Amino acid sequence: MESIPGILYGLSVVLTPTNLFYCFMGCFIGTMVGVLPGIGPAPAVALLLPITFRLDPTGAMIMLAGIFYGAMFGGSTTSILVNIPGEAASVVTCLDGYQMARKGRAGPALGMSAFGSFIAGTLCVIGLMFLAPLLAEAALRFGPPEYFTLMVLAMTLITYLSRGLMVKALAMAALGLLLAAVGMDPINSKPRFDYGILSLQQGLNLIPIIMGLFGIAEVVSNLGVLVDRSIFKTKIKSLLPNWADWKASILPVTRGTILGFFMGILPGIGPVVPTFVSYGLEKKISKHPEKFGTGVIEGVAAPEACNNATSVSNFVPMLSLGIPTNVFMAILLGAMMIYGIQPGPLLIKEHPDLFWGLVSSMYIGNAMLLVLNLPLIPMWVQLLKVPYAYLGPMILLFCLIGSYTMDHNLADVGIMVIFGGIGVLMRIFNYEPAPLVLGLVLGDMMEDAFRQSLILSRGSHFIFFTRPISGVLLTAALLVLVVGLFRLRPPKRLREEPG
Amino acid sequence: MTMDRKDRFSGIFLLVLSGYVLFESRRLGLGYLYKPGPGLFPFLAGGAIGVLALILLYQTGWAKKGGKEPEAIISWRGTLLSFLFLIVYISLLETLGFIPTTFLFIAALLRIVERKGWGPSILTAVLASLVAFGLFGIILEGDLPPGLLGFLAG
Repeated sequence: MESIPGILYGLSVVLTPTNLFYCFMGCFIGTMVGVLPGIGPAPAVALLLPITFRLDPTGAMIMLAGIFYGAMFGGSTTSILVNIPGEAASVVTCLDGYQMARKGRAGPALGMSAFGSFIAGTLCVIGLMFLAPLLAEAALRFGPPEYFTLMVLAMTLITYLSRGLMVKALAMAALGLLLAAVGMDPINSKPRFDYGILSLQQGLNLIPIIMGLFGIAEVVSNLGVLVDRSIFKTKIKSLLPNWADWKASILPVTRGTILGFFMGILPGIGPVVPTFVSYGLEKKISKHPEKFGTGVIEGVAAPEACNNATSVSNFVPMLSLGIPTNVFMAILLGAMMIYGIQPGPLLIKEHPDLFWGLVSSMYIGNAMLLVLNLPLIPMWVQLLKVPYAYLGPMILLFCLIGSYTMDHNLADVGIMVIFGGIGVLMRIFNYEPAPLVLGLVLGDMMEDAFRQSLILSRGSHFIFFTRPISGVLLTAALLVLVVGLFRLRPPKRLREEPG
Repeated sequence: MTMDRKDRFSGIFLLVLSGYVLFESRRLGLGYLYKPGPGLFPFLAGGAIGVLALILLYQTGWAKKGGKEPEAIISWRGTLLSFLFLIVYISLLETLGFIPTTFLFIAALLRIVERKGWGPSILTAVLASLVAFGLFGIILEGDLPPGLLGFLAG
């Protein structure tokens, strides 16, 4: 479907009371999650996935997407008011945003952050609208070997840009692939690694694992530890930036948008790195670089626009190719498979209502966020005052209910708690959960593509090199591996937040 | 434990794990390259883990590390108790029912782990279990186990 009729079709899908409501819920929950430090969009979505099973896939995806870009919006609130980033992507906003708040200019900082994010988000949805179908079209020429190597490249990129040692991230990714193999072999239907346990024969369920690794592990590690959070006591007078603010911000917002959009398309980049690049860029080309860090509005507007831009463009590979760019997209991918939707280049053709509905919902979602954030900011600030001692147990309870109500199977809850334990161990030994989730989600697809490729080539593993596209992708992946493994540390000091 | 010793420990663990996976995968059958068996992919994944574990051990043992990794701050008491309560929750959920089990869980967490007073703990536990049941059990039709309070559910 062409883009313009596509969008009109999408709007007809979204502009129903139910879908609008889901969009609103997504944005609302997303903002809330973004405001609360310690819980990110990935665990939040994992907690909500069981509930979304009652919804139709389009509605569910609209809501889940809303949580993602909503969280980017919300993260800036705490950065500006409390100097605590709600999301890793909002770390940069703390630099000038908090300083502006200290000078009594919290309002314009918050306002410009919201407006900048809105502009960026809207422009990027337009980009997504045109780019995704093009990519999908190109990818239809991909065969199993190209798929396999593309997934390998995505995994190496994501592990390259993870915090800590790349070796560990790769090991977790491989472990994820292994866990994906537990259960029935897709081709021969023989059970693998099941040890005679019925629950394992059906394979490991993605959701309890994610809830365990992110939700349970996070809360359980934090309970009993005293954390001090003092909220900046400031009166927010007016949320509207003045004319001078707009003049100063409009070009930074544009630059941030373009930067964020293109960087967000690549797997593994995530929202953190682009925001730092954006801030650095603005500082370099500014006429008054020395003022950065003291509270200049460009230091807020550009990174905020940038992180919203990445949150939209992150969807491009996922929707057009079925390749996740970060852990959140991996979870969405897993969710789609559970809903019975096969991700990949045929998604747009086979499920136009889902794709165009989702894209249209992003326009509406961005507008909702703008309207939501500004008046509700005092409320979000109140939310921050709930002590973690009470919030933590509630999150645990949420996880328990969520995993139980999926199938009314205590085994799922058990798996969740076990992976919660694994998650805590991973924290202690400094391993990240995100690559593991990635491996788990991609595992079945990768194995499928791998075996089909071998069958195609009649056993020759050279097929991955001899086919041109596949060869290029594989070479790129090998390069990333070599550079990452033997350089000990990726070049940038700051990396993607796993979840 | 210092970071290096932790890495050595986890590296050895991964190495052992990888060895086990390689063994199990061969048992499942690797098949032939033109007709891959069920064990092939796990074998490769397990092998990768083994190689990576070796690289990790090499990097911690001989090579100079690039820098310090962030240390996790954990309260052992809090963490272990929380796990204990989670396990108890799972064991009691279907026998006692949702509301009583949730009440005990929240109260235990607040009183014992977070060391809040009896008042706030009990009050929050009551509110949480009732609200959760109302929201997830009734409104969202989650079908939560009634257990001992089954006569109330009607």
